[in-house]
Amino acid sequence: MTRVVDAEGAHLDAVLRAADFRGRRVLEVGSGEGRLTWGIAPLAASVLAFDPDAEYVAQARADCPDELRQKVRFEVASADEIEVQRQSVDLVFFSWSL
Amino acid sequence: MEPEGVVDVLRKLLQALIPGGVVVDLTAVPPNAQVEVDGAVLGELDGSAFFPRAEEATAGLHSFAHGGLLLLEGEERLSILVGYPSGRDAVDDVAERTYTRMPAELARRVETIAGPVAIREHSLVRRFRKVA
Repeated sequence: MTRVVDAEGAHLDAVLRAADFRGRRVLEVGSGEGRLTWGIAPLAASVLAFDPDAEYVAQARADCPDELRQKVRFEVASADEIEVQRQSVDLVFFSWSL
Repeated sequence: MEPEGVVDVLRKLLQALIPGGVVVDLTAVPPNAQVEVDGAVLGELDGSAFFPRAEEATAGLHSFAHGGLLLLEGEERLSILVGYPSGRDAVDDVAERTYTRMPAELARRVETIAGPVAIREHSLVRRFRKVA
């Protein structure tokens, strides 16, 4: 099935208005196929992105642009399975994940 | 996830955040999503089973705000469009969703549409700051 989610980029625009991602270590919870990750990662210092759907994560890994591979990591985990070191991120981004 | 589960998960994830760090929460909110063709509204999806779950997460974050751990600094409501090449594609996509459904009468009308169909969904973006 072909579907296009938010072709106009309204979600990303609103998220970028909400917070300054520049130079931040970001924990993204509910990254899906990386639709919003690709918009915040170029600004961030790093993005650790989780989604419980293994197919989405595989797709995101496959689609990750070469220039972002050094600072974006996708992992399969639901919100309650995520283990992250204390005080290790500057910004937590929840995307319909709970 | 049960409401108390949401709070526990949030507490754990917020421990990963530095003091003064930011939380951005993007979530779906009422009213129900609408099916549109060329900007005309054909009907609404039934989100009555979905929105209470989304509101649990909202309530979880607000409980931390009320507890003094988070400070709500801003919020913005917006809507987005999910586009499909045909009505059949829209019906099939909604059928795969766990907590949102398309009413049968609306689905019967939508699946006969050969051209593009859009679903307008409503969202809320909020920014919190971790106080301590």
